[in-house]
This record gives sequence, C-alpha cells and structure tokens, in this order.
Amino acid sequence: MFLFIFLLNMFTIYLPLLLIGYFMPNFIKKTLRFGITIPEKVSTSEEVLKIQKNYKRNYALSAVTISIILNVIAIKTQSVNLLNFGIFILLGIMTINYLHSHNKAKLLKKEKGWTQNKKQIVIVDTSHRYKQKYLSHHWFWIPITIVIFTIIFTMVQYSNLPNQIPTQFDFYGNITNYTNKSFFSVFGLPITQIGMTTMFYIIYRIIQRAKPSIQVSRPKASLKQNQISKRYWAIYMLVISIIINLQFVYIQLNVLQVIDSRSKISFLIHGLSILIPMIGAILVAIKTGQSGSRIKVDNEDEVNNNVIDRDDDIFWKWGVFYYNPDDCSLFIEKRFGIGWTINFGRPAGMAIMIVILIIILVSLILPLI
Amino acid sequence: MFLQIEFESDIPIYQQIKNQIIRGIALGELKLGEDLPSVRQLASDIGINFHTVNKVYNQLKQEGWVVIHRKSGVMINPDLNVYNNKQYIESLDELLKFTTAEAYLRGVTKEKFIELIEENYNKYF
Repeated sequence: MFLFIFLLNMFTIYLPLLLIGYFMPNFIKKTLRFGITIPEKVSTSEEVLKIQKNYKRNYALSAVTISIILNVIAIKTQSVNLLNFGIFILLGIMTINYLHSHNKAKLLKKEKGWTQNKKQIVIVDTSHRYKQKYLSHHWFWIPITIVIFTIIFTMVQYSNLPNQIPTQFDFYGNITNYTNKSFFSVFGLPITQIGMTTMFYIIYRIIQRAKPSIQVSRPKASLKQNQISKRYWAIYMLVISIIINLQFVYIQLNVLQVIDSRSKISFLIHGLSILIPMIGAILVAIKTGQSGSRIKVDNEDEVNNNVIDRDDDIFWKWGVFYYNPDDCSLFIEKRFGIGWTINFGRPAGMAIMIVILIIILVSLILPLI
Repeated sequence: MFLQIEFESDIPIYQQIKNQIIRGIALGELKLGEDLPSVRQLASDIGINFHTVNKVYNQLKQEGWVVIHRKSGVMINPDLNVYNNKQYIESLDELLKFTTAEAYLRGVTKEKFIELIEENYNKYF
C-alpha cells in the first residue's frame, strides 16, 4: 500500500510541482517578470535574464534536494504522513524561491527607473465581447444531462436498495465501508455532482468575463491571443466537468450495486479521471501560456516604445495578492502562474476568500472530530 | 475600437473616455448603432470604479452621442444628429482661446496651426 501511495504522490504531485515551478517563467508573458511589470524593450536584457537564470538554478537545487531527502526518509520509515506533509514543505520552498526573485526584480526595476518618463497606458477594446462568442454555454447541457440521469436513476433504484449500502471503495474497487441506507448516503454523490457542475459553470463564466490583458506594445495580437486562450480554458472546463461527472455516475452505479465495483475497468476509470484533467491542464498551459502569450498569431502591430503598460505593481502584494478598491472587477488574471485570482479590495472578493478558507478549515477539521 | 487610458494624465479619466468615444465616432472607428460595453464591463476592463463610466455614459447620452436602453444596453446613437449651436460655438471659442494662446507663445505659426487642424479634419467623414 505504501508503494502505491508513494508512486501516486511521486507522479501526480512531486514531479509535476518540480517541473511546473522550474518552467513557470517560460509560461509568463515577457512584460511580467516574477510579478513585476517591465517594459517590453528590456524584457530580454541581460539583467532580467540573469534573475531568471538564478531563479531556475536556485529552484532546481533547493527543490530537488528537499524532495529527494523527504522521499528517502519517507521510504525508510514507510511514512505516508511524511509524504503528504512534504508537499507543504515543497510548496514553501517554491514560495521562498519566487519571493527572492520577486524582490530582485523589484529592486532592479527601481534602480533602472524603467517606468520613468514613459506614458503608462491601459488599453481597452470596446467591441470584442460582442464579436467573439468563445464557447456557447449550451455545451453545459451535456454535464447537466449526466447529473439529471444520475438523480433519476438513483430515484428509480432507491426502493430496491438493501438497508446497508457500500459507500467506500479502494482503488481496486473493493468495498471498504458500508453505511445505513438514508437520503444522504444514497443521494450524497448526485448532490456533490450538482455542486461540482455548478462550480465548473461559474469558473467558465469567470473566464468569459475576466478582463483581457491587452498589451500596449501589441494590442491587436495580444487581444487575439487572449481570446484564443480563453476559449481553450473554457473547453477544458467543459471537458473536465463531463469527465468528473461520468466518474461519479460510475461510482454511483457501484453504490447502487448495479455494476460490480471489482471489475478491472474500475482501476482504468479512476486512473483516467485523475490523469486526463491533470495532463489536460498541463497541455493547455503549454499551448496557451499566461493570457495566451505562447499562442502564435499573425497580426503584428507596430511596436511603440514610447508607451508602456500601466505599472500597477503597488496593487499587487508580493505580486500575488491583488488589492485595489478602486477597481470594480472581481476577478483578474494572475501575475505569476496561469489562471485568475480575486480582487481583495472588493467586499465580494474578501467574502469569497473567507468562504473558501472556511470550507478548507471545515474539511480539515471534520475528519478529526 | 481601442480606448487608451492614461492614469497619470492631467486629463481626468472620464474625460479621456468621453473624448476618445467622440473621436472614434468622427473617425468612423465606432459605427452608428454600434454596441458599447455595459457600464460594469467597461469599468472592469479599465480597472476603475463603475461610477466613472456611468458619468461618461450619462454625459454622452445627454449630449446625444449615445442612446441607453434598459434592455439592450448602450449604443452609439443610430440617428446621430448633434448640431452646432451658439452655445457650442461659444465653448469652442473658449477652448481655442487657451490653445491658440499657448501655441502662439510657444512659437507655433498660424500656418502650422491651421495645417494641424486640416490634417485632423481630413480624417473625419
């Protein structure tokens, strides 16, 4: 059992984290280095590249060393807890490496005065939302149909169920726990499906509405990249919500004892529903990069070196947390990483954060009670 | 059309938006009847408070540049008919007083000034 968890952790957490941290600078657009905005012109200068090179060297050395030590000790002591706890240590190492480079970049920018005597501009497109429909929300009828099917099928089967139903399975489909038949034990999975599908739909809407980051030096090209990358992520969200719903249907059919959970296909289904979302996310990230910066587009604008993107570093604490009460947008693109984050300067943003924290705390504490 | 907003400028942000929308109409970059983003969308895209955009849209509406429908949102007035009246000519004259005075003192000749005006006028249709 230890070997299984060890391999699972190794290939789904440790290795991906190590690689993501190492290659992250390659996914970020050139004008954002470690959470600091810099002008396009200096983005390939020696000083900037040096910070990036040092980051990669320090990161590789520290993160790989720590991972090896942790895993060796864990193997020697056969400790699953250490494997799990080690993930937090690795995340800590990643954070320290990032913050170090963030401060270096901040200092360099200040020394060189890159933003002085330059017009700082924010570019907004008044028309894109209307021209480009990037993925129709009707596609979400597919996961919704799956959810409805699960609910109806469960309702039909409810009266035929025995008083004890299996509710826990191991990876090979062996039943590890039974629960008394009740509304919540039978409908728990379909209810979770509703919650998850709603969540994926909300994320899809957030992606659609989040402000596009248009670069002043190449507005048309960057807008196009933004749109294409948003489309990729919207499709990703749709596909993942379908896959996870299908997995839940399968588990529910096991719970209802309609199909035998020990069949070989169990392992395949659970394996795929972990691997496809993970590999999919990595592939889409490699394809798009941050706000589509890796997507190749043709229409090149005339480069204008007299204007630069607005320097909004002061609103970004450590380049990670966005706090700007004057900005009415709730969701904004991340600076270091791919995805979107919350504007903590909005009351609603703060509320969302508190709710998420409560959910995490409850799910951590509940199993202990 | 792209709006270019400069946060550090002396010109207030609402004035920048308003100026650029009017110029967009004159240049033909904004077509008559073309939809504009909603107040919230535009404010969010620029990264400002939505009251600022509200103010711009209300002024543009009062002056007849845009129409606001409760359902279909904001669009450039499809039957745009803004005329010059005595009042407008007065305010134009007021504006030119300062602009010409500064240009004169900075040594811009009358010919150069008129040339600049012609260049701009030629872009409109």
